[in-house]
Amino acid sequence: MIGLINGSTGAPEVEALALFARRLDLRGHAVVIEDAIFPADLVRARRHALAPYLTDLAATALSRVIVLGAEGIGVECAARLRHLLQVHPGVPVTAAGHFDNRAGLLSSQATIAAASGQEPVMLDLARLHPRPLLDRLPCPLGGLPLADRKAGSKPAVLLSIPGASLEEERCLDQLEALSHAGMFSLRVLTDQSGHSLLLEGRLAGLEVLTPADAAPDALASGADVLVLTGASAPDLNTLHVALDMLVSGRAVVDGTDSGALVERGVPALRGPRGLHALAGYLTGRVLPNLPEIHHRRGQSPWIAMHDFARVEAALDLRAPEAAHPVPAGDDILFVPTNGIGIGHAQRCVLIAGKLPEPAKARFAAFPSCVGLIRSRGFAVRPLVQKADDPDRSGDNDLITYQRLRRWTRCGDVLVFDGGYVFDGIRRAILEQGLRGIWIRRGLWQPQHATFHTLSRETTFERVIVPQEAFDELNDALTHGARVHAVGPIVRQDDPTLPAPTEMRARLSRLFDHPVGELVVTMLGGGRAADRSAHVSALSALLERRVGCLHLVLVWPGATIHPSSTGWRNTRVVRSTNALPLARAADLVVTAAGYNTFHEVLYHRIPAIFVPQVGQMMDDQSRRAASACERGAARVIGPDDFLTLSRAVTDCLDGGTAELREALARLHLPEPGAQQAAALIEEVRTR
Amino acid sequence: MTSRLGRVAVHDAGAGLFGGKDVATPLAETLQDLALPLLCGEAVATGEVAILHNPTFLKLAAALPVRIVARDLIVVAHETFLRPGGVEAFDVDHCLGLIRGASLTLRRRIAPVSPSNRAAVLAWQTSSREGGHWEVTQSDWFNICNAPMQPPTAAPRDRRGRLSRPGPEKFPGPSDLDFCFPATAEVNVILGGDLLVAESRRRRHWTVLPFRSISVEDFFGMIDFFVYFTAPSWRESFGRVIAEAIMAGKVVITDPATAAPFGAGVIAARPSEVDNVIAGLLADPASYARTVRRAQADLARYAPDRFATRFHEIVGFRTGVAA
Repeated sequence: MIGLINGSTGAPEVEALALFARRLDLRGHAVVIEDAIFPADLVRARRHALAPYLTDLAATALSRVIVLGAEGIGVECAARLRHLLQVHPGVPVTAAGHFDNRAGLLSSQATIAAASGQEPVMLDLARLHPRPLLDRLPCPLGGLPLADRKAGSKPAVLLSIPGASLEEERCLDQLEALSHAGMFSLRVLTDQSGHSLLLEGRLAGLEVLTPADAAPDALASGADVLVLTGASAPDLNTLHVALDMLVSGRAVVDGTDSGALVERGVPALRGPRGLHALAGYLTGRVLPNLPEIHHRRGQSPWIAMHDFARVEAALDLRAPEAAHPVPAGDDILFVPTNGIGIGHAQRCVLIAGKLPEPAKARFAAFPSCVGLIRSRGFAVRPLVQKADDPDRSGDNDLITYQRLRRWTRCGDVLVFDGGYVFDGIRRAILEQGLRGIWIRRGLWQPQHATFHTLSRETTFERVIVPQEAFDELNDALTHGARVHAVGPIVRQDDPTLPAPTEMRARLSRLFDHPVGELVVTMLGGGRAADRSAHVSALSALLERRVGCLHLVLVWPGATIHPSSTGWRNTRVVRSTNALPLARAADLVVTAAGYNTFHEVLYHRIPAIFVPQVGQMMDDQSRRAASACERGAARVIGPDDFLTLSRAVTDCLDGGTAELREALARLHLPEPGAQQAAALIEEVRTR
Repeated sequence: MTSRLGRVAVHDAGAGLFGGKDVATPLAETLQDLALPLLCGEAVATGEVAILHNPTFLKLAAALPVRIVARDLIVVAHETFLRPGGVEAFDVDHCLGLIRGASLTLRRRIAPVSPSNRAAVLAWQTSSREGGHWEVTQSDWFNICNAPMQPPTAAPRDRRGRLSRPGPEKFPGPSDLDFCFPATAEVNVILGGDLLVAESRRRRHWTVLPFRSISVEDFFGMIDFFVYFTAPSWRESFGRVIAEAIMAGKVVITDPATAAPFGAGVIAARPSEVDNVIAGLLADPASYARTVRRAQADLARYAPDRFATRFHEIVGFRTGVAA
């Protein structure tokens, strides 16, 4: 295991360390980064890049320590080295730095020798890179050869453009025109200010990335041509993208104002400085010559000098030989978010069950969903729940990212079901070379349908939109070739579902209670809103009804309010398998979430909807109202206890015949699980 | 001292290593006492003998700003040329090369400041191209130790301490520090322990003080034993801090190479032996006092009058009138 430590702890040093660690990692070296010396705010800003490597080096078995930034060994680094080498005595130390002169190198060597207790091997980056691409290199530079892109695919252009350039007059217009050139696909790599500008500009369909979204090799992998623009030289991240592309024989066009790369001897093409001429230049001069550019890479001494293998040789590192070449993946990994309940997981399970080879499907899911997924026969690995502490609420995404890295291979299909595409999901898709599919149920509350959120769909090859049962509820959030609408995802034709009469008999035996009437209440687990008052009111009401069994159904892990217990006629049931109970019920009182709503409609279950109206929910009020307008259900407002009690009594006394008739008259769309499965399989097999 | 032996001119070499900082107070006061100007910006420094102290100030310089014209040029090697293991401590060839390039002299010599320092100079000379252009003085140019000797305490206690600049080269490894300053000692004072603070490795039984946070006098007042070890990759050229501890009336325990210039009054030991050494002296306070007085007597070899004799040996002629 190689331990990396940096001489100083500024933002550029953190960046360099993360980049260098990933390079070593991709070359097969086991590498870790000392976690103790970086300021917390710096780590948080780059946490996805650092997370796979950060650890306490003192607690790790090390075979080598490499110090970067050796020209500026700070007190913290010296102290850390002292401690580290006491724990790991005799581990060889290599120190790399950009030394202005021999005095600096000797001074650094003396400090590291004193701190580590042994003479380090010194690597002067000024000698390794005699004509450096940056004025002061914070780490050794070297390009990684990328896997060849699929033959026959449309050429992909990655345009690097700083935010300052995007602010120039007409630049956004020119960029939009470039994106419609048609001869190539376009992705934009920019900084944070550029990203904000492009979101405000609402350039539909344009994939915009920042260095924070994925590692340079991942950004380079998806491109045949890199175009660099802007007034200044590219930063370290973008430089790495350029290096990977050059080493892989792909085209790099230097369109910077000063020819920043070309003037430093980089074998890049000197392209036009403005976007207005870029389309013509690319289609006329670059794209037709891509094979020739690729062919010539083997003849370029510059490229040989800048291959990462040379860095490995300078560090006396031998790239480990893989025991067996890793085959391309073709598994399907479902990653349902868990939102408030388990609806996303339920949908994924239904779709996975319709795959031609369900055994190809695996799951990575949050703890509340694991039981459900396992009960349906799928392998599932756990993710970590979001923390309640708002300052830590994004930390679990780091774990998701790291686990997805470990659990996937290039080529696997990742199916994400959720509203917001987390950074870790996006990064894993980009970096692991996964084929992403987004299952994006609609009926979002208006404030959720932001351009920022929806723009993330460009990460995915397909967006599958399960439709609502009623047309007026199907708002099209986005359009385009990648978006596919499918029928409602609902559990149907399941031979394991018991007949309602059989279910009632089972319940009677289980609870030793007559089941003259069966009411099932499913108002949520207390996370979206506190429904304990509703449950109490219903329990009190149904207590007076002879022979009535009232089941309060909650998900595993949900909070059970004490007021739910102690009733003769009421029982609390923890289960993820609501449908058998609902089908057996005379009446269901429920929220109007996507899955339950459609189960009620498709299984023709008399229901009273009490919509959830929380900030993070879908628009349940609209959904419930659509059923009510058709006479197929009743709807009660969340604060309307009296009306709820009256409605329940009316249904039980007057019968639910009207509701059943209205339900029977409904013409419902063909369910879409099969269609969704087919779309996923098509991506997997192409 | 030198001003009593002949006419002296003091030049500021002006290489800018210290970024324009003021002249050190002791030097400024001495020049004022002697009514000697500090010559700044002079293009040429001339004299019978030119003495240039500590060539490391040129390590980042492109040239020596002052040209030297003298019969004899002596460069005093205050900092060791080679670290233990033979690695250059600084770019010696560069520094001496600049001096040689800026000087017109009949004789060009390096004056070591101690036996270990001499060994490093000689080792450097055999492996360096620049070394062939320099001689090494027969005698060492030692540091003058001229301060009142404080008497040893009659009732020593297990109060230990060390004093140094805060760089990692000045500190032994963590386990050796634990040997030197155990929990069983009554007091453990570490002055200049900035590194230990950064390392988050302060023991509860240590009093760790940042460099220059208290006066040296106050520090010595807190201890009876000066326990001093450095990183294995480092060695003191002379060890002025050892001399200061002796003059302050403390028993000094250090490694053999550092102890060598100071005679048998400074106890040479390994860190793991420190406890036993101290225990023995605490059990025999008279022995404690004898050890301090022996070291103080041996320190007389670095007295000012001895320096005058040594100066004549090195320079090779008598100037002025002997005191």
